[in-house]
Amino acid sequence: MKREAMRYAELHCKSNFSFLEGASFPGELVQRASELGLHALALTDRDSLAGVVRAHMAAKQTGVKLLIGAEITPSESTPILLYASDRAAYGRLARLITTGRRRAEKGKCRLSLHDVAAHSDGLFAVRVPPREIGALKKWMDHDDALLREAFGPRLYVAAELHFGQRDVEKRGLLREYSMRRALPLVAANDVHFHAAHRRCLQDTLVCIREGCTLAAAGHRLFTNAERRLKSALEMAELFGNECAGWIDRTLEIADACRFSLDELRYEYPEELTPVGTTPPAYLAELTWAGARQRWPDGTSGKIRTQIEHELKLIEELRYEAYFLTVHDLVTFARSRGILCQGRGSAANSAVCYCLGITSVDPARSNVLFERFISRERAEAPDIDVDFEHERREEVMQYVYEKYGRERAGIVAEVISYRPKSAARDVGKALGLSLDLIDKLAGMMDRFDNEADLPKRIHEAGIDSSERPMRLFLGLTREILGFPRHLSQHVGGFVITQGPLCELVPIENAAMEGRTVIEWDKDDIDALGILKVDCLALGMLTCIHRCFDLVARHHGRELTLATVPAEDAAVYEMCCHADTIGVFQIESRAQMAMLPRLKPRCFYDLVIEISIVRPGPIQGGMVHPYLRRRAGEEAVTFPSAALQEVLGKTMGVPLFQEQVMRLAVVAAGFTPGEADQLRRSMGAWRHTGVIEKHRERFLAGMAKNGYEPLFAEAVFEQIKGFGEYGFPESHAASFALLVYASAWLKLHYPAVFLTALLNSQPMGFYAPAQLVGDARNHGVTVLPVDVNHSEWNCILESGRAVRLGFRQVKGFSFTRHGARLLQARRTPFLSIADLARRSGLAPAALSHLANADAFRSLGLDRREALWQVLNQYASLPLFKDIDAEEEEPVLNAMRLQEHVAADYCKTGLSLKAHPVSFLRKALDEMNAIACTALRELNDGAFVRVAGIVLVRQRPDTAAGVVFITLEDETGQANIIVWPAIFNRFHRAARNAAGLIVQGRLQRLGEIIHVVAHRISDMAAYMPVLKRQSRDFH
Amino acid sequence: MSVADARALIPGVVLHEVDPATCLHSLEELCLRAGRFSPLAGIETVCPAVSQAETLLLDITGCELVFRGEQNLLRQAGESLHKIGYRVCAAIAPAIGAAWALAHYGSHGSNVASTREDLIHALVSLPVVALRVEHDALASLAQLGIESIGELLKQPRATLPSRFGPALIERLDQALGIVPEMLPLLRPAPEHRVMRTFGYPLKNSELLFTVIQQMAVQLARELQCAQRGARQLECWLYHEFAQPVYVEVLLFRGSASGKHFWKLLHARLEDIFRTPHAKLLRSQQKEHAPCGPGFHLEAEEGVCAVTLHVVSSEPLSSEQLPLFDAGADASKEASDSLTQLLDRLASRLGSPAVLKVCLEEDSLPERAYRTLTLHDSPCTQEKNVMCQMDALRPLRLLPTPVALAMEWPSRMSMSMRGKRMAIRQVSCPERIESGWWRESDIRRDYYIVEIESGARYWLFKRLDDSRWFLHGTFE
Repeated sequence: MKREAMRYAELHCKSNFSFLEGASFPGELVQRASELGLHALALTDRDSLAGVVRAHMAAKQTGVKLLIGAEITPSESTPILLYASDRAAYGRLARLITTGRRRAEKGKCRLSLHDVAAHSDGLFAVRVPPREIGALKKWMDHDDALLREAFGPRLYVAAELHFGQRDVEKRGLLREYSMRRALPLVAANDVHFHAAHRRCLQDTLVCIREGCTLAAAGHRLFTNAERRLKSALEMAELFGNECAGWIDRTLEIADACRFSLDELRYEYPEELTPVGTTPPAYLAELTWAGARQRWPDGTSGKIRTQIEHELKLIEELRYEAYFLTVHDLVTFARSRGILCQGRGSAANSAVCYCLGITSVDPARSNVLFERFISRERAEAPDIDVDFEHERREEVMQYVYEKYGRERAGIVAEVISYRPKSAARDVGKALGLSLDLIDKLAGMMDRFDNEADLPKRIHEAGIDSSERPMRLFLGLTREILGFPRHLSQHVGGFVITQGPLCELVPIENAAMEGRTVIEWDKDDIDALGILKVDCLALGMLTCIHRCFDLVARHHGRELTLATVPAEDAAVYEMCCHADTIGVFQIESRAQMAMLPRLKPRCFYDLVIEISIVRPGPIQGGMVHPYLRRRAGEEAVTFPSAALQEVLGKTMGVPLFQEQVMRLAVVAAGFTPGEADQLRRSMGAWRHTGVIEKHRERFLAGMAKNGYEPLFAEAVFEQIKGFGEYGFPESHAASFALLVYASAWLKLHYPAVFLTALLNSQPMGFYAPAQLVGDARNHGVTVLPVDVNHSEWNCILESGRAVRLGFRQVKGFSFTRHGARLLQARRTPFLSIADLARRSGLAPAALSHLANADAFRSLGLDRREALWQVLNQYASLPLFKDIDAEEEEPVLNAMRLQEHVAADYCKTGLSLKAHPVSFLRKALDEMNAIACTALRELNDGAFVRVAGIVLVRQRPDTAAGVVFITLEDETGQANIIVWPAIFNRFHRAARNAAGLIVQGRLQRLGEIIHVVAHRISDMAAYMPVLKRQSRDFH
Repeated sequence: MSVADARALIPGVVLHEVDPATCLHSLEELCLRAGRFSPLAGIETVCPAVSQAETLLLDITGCELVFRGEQNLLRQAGESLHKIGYRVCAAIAPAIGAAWALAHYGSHGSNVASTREDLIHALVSLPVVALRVEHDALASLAQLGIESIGELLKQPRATLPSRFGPALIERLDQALGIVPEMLPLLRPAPEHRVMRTFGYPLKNSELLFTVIQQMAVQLARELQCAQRGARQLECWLYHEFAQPVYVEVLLFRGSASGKHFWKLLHARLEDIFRTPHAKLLRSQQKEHAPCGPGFHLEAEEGVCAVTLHVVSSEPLSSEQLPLFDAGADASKEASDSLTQLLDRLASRLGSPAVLKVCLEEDSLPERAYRTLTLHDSPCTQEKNVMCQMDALRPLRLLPTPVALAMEWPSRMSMSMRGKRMAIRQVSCPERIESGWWRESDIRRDYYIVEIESGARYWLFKRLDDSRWFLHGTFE
């Protein structure tokens, strides 16, 4: 046979979506198949279709014919390869996998031959015989009537040879079997990787899977690298002339399977439209009804045109059902009193405002509405809906209930190897010591540049030229980005008209009551399937609570849409960075930006939250924007074409949308390519891909006459967006929450504190800082007390905040709180009284005693604890035992001990600030109070002390560490350069309290202390417990 | 403290994982050594308050006389441990609890409390944690500000159990010596033990050997009655003034044969007496099985007492003796004599010299087996890993592969060490690519080659350079 005439289709091929088995990406396999000139390639991942979309996309690019299939592993038989011949058969395959996956725990699949037989219509099947000769001989005697009957002529047996000593014998046995049973043999190669060099990685994956080291793996590893993708010629040589028919037969199956993923048609659920009307008509009806509610005085002509334009576009693109689906969710949430808000490009439409999906008034900010779903971009509409974080599950269960698990599923999230996890797993497989692995993983955690790693390892005193380290580095680099397992997306739902499990297999999630599809958001994007994102947001819970409290205590009904807009006092507060607790702009970086940006209107808030992001920072866009805003630099545009794109941000690209537009307008990308460009920037994709895009981008910009410096900066910005993309359309919705929470903080500080505390954990600050800030604003805060507190924090007489039992660590609502509150019809008279009436055990009572919650009974912490500890106090028999007991001899607690105990048990103290006890000592060493920094001039040499609230080392700050200190007067921001941090790392890294000596740096209202020396305050404050949030 | 924290404090810190088994083992060794100061020595029992044993307990009642006072005994004991590299915290008190408290938390110089008054005086200033109480009780005490044992004693006694559990009172009383506490002895007296004392020191080794031989027979008889077989024996020789010396014998299978015991003991004892000046150096002892913890035998010293006892034993395998079948009897005898031979070889040559071969799971032929000392793997039938493998392997593997010139497939011949051989048949290749994680990646194609004489060879072609090697022969 001539070499050119030889053709072969690989029918048994696993990608790395057979987790920890296959050692090549689906794309790599397809690419290699194309290079080898294979007739076709079947992707047969183990009990899964998770990788098929990626393979499909690659196949479309390279023109390789792809068979969609899977290796099914029934419990009582060797694996069976199945291939879909048409759409219906594909549906059955997906359903079969769903059946097996839903039956088993997460990540497993349980199927029997009966299941396979029941779904056999239209599927081609290839049985895989066992590897070993002995097992093969036994297997040959097995009965296969079930499969034979189900598949008929579409049943084959795979012949696979991998350079074993007994290949000749094996071939003979298979031939004998084939003749005896009249079953056709087809050649296959059980491919696990696309090229031989992946053998080492594959061995490593096996070890990770088996939890053993390479040295101990033994026969669990394949003996050689023969399980690679092979050409027709190689296969022909391997099987010899007399078996050429087996190779030809692969073509027979390949040609019979004509199914392509392109045939999948996504259908929206239909039941949302009432009978007798069409989706467009119904959407229009709802929209206009909503418009009448939003604008009771009538809509302006401009708004009307906008709505009409949008409705027309939606109808043209047939997206009505999508809007109706989102509307349905939002309506449900409203009916349950769950606060929610949509965001995303489509969410910022007049239609969505009318439908109540968002509360951002289009009249409030014109700029936003130039961008909507556009015809030419053909992108799917994107609406994320945020719900109150404590009640989102209700919405999710509503979706499951309404559409059934047959039709709704959460999108998967592919968890893949990051530097740290890669280092850990590879290190373990290589058998490195745990100590060394820790060290290496720690190094991986922060390295920004792959090329730096060998240097860093060398600096850490490890010889990186030794073989184990070379292997470690090579394998770690190779495994990056490999999928590890499927998890669930934060909240993306796919809802279909027909059964979802015939579109894509569904499996169980780790969380009970959740089911997940096998594809992630990129996969469904690629196939044009729409998803609805139901996300959880703590601030919505908080705002909802604020509205409730304002209504109850101040008699004022508020909604997100009716919070008084454009209140100058709110912006004034923001300009002074007085924003602890406010959504988004409370972080230190945001607080440092506020006095410089000085937001004066709603759109300024949109910019504020978008500008402190990796994109603009890495692109170096922040300072130019601030300069232009302050009038220090003229507003110019790189070209007339870009004026349209960059007009609203003074000629500086800030938003992801702008940068993507820029790629199109200035660098000559198509919109689709621009989107791909952003996607490919995910941090751990292969560097080569990024380089390719970079060259193309820079060349495109140069061609259109843009400065290379500008082009470079924009490209850096795209890289920044890759991982943490945060487009304007999302920022706009978030800005509304920023504004609402700031407004509440300003006008109802007590309410705002109460709601924030009751919604914890959320936000940037711990309760101690929130309480401290509120007290600085004149809010009275009262301690936890058995006779006054509720579970949540409450407002007493409308103004003072009473801390709730929820602040007490170890005290749980279901086990303790509910019983206590139920028993408290009249005030408790003594601990014994409380114990008897509530039936709480001494352990629970000691939580309260440690929280110093018995003051209303006239007992301090220690006295209460002595009584509480008595195991017999609550037993009826010993009712009056207290009276007879001798008094203990206890030392009185000092105030600082009380404060320390308060911090331990409730995370905050109302009695005093821990640092206040050291003030005298601090005065003696000339350390000044944090607030006193404001009085000093730039460049002053100062010493400040405080407990550490936050330590941060942002990726964008080149190793600089930001530390926030707090004393009894306020907070101080410390900047620590890497050299100083390393020099004083003992204190700087771990100490709970620090004394910092350094130079004051002031820029308007923003004050920093640049550290020169750092020491641990613990020497002066032994009771301090570490509670800072470090390196988030 | 987490490792990350520790490393943040001292970046170059060298970390070793705690190995409780090794720690306990060293503690046991120290405990044996402490036999010098008291015959009753033990290691503290582990409980929630003491999560890992770290304390040696000695009952020195009466022993202080030998050392001229408690203070002296304490000093000497401390020094003896200090000499071999340990940092010692030690104390003497009338109760175990008090001694523990003083050793762990007492200030230096106040660690001997002979009387009850001393004891209370010493204890009141110690922190409550010195009482070996559980974490919960400690936490409660700390919250109440009760920090020292003195402050605890001030509280009304009746109020304590209901608040801190009954254990606190018990620990307190144990420290005060009000309630007794058992000393957990490390070496309870052996069950099977034979002893002889002599009226005068015996210097004649032959005479001594005769006595020990008799003792071995007697011990064996005792064991037979109890249906036990000894796995480990110790023979101690006591002298009037010098330290005692002992020899130890390990057996591969439980035995109750006096003859066998004696053969093994004899070999070891002869070693002792044959050494010039009868000195046994520590290093020498280490090489063989341990033979007395670092003491040596002074030849001039006569032996005034000998003990022979069983350190560990197992039930005698109850093999039923067939009535008539003499063949079975012979096979039992054969297996007996094999284990006895092994015992004797190990006793003579040292156990590292007697090895057995085990199969390993590894694709590389030269790594597919490993040798073990018999004590690491007792004589049990192991499952043959090779059975699960599909491939044929030669029984004999060359220590290192030998290069040869292969003319196949162009011609049916090969030559090795200048000798040319005609090939009759070559099998299909078996490709082995493995071991990349070790020194180097090994990639070979193995062939079974039959030459004209009918001999079959196992050859491989190195894939990196296509050179051929002989690796083994089939028999």
